Amino acid sequence: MKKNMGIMTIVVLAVVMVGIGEASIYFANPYSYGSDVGIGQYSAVYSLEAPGRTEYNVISFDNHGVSPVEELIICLDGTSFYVSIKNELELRGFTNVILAEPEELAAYMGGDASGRAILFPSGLFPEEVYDGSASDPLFADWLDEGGSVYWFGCSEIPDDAYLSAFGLTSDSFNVHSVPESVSRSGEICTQLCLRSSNVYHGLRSDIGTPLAYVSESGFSSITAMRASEGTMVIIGGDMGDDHASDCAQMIAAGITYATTVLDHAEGMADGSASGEMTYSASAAENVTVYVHMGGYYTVYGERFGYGT
Amino acid sequence: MGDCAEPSPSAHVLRLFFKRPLVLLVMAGIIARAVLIPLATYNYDIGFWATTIQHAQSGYGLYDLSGYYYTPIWGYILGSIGLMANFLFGIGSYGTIADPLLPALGAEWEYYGKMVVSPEFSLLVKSFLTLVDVVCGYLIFTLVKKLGHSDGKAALAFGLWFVCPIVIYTSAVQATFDNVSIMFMLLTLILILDGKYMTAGAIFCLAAFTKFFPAYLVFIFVVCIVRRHEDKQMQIRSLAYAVIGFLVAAFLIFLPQFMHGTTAEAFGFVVSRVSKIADPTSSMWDSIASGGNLLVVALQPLIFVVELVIAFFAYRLSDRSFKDNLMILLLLSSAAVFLWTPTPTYLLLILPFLICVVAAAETSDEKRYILPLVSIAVTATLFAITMNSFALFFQDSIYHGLISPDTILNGIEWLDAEVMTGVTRQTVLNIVTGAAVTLSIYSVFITYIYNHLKGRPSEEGCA
Repeated sequence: MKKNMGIMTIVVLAVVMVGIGEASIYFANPYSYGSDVGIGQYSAVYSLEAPGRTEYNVISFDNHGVSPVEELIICLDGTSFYVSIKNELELRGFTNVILAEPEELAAYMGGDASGRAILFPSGLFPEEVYDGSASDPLFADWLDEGGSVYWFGCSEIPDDAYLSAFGLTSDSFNVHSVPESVSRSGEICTQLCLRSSNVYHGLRSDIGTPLAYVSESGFSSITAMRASEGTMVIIGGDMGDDHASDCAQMIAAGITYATTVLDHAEGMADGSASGEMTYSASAAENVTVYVHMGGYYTVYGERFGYGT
Repeated sequence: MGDCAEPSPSAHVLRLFFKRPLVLLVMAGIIARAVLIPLATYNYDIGFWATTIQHAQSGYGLYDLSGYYYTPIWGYILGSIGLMANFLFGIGSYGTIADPLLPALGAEWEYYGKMVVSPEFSLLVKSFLTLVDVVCGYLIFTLVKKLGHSDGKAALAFGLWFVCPIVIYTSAVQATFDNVSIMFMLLTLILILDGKYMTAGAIFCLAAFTKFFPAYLVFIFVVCIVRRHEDKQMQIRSLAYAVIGFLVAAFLIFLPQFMHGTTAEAFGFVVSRVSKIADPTSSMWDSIASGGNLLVVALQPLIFVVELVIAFFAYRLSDRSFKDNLMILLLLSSAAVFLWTPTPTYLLLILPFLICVVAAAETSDEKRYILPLVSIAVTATLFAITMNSFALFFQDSIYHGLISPDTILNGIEWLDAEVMTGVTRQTVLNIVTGAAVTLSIYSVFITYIYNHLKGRPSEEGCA
């Protein structure tokens, strides 16, 4: 009996380690995160709750009257990529997501577009919503009404006629796959912990607001550009894990082509954290505050607007 | 004067080595790990472990977000490590993006991760894996003793495992979990030898669903169970206990995936490797990798036949001969799993049995297995270093400032340079070291056949 003690102790410890891990992930998750933000015209007060030490970022934005996305329609493309995006959004507190087949999109695009966005995970836009010519009114109307489009780019850049509806040409995109040095485009990249750094098939950075990384030759991995009254966000590179988390981070944070950062706070929440941000916003109702925790390994997010 | 002088430190160490070789082997293993753990971290795999813990902490399980592609056991263990990181050690930041090193992602060799984990996170994961190294060493010690060898031989086996370069590299540098699967495999064998079949079946389930490779040993393990009993009914009952243990464990392991509808995702690792065969390839290395994956699939029927033949041979041996040759049989079974060129850390599967054979060797036939042992240990480590190359220093550069990013990028550029059309230095080095690893694996069979042809099959085995 005694000689088996060592082996049985190892068996028990190993099984306990596996069992505790399984239980903590699926049955009794001990991680609980929360936040509360009060927004005023000149300041915002935040308080956070986290289990143990957790990296946090609190960012106040001025959207200058352009409505951030409140509802997202994901165009299904036959892949299961939407699952990751949907869950990445959900963990950041954004649950208003509609999954639509291409043939259903037209019906969704007919209504009010302000505060709504469509996400195209891959390839060209489906023929059901865009025939490839600037005279096709569906997209134009959507953008005129303030709707947004998130486009993960395509394996090949379409011709100028296809792109003219959005004020783009094929020269707007980077078609050189040769690797080059990239650097962060600015504070939003750092504060939102964006990861997408591949500028292949990304837009020229001067066309809109570069959000993540910009190459030496001037191309951006993620760009938010104004298209009529709406926002068009184009993400370069191959579709991968970073796309889902970055896309979710931008939508959950409420980034538009007009977004500017008012103030930012970061640190370690050791059980809890609180603080105040001061700013000078264009109007109190234009202020949104986005809280996220976990840094580059985001585990929580929540957006707050004036009066919410 | 000279006669009365104190012995020099080196003489002291030498004397200690001959008196207590295990002490020095263990000290060497600890020192190697203490140096490597903080200074060399392959950032690619461990970045995914941080992502997996993030999934666990965000409440989205292992597979609802992308980033974890293995069967669930390692994910569950990472869940426990995450609890320690958060609640016990207060690790608040798991890593950051390696901005100055992002150009490395443009290299043909695509295994330079952009994320660099924090030193405290890698220390925690590697410490756990080092503990598993110690446990594996203890299990090897127990196994050698269980087969009737002396304490000295058992201790030597422990020492050989603990200082084996690829074992150290796997836990202290690459921070991957192959040794966890080996720990469960060794536990399975010991539990079988102890007659605890239900527990053995359950632990075998953990081994096979940590990494699949121990699953190939199912045939020889079945023979091990059957051979412990003369009575047919007892044999069937013992096997039934093992199967019940396996099924119950499998049910408990995969219960969350059944409930969440993510069972298919739990086998994503296998599916992704097979699907890469059909992938259009963009580089010479991609073509080689694609061909390699095709070879792995094509060899599976042969591997299964070899495993069955070894098991059948084991079943037909006399009791004495079976006991004497058990370690050789397990060695051949584990080596047959890799008739292809594996990732170097996979070779941990072979090492415990090879070490047992060498540590317990009494005949010259058995002592010949020293050559495959040294060969596998050295070539697998060189193959790993070749493949991980400058990614080993990303953390040193980003967190410690010990190496400039330019030095790393220049090194990667050198590796990425073509030595002939479409063939980079990295590809050449991978092929050379990969071929050396393959030869090392086959040297196990060559040694066995050489011994057999000499007409002096092992008399003593591990007995």
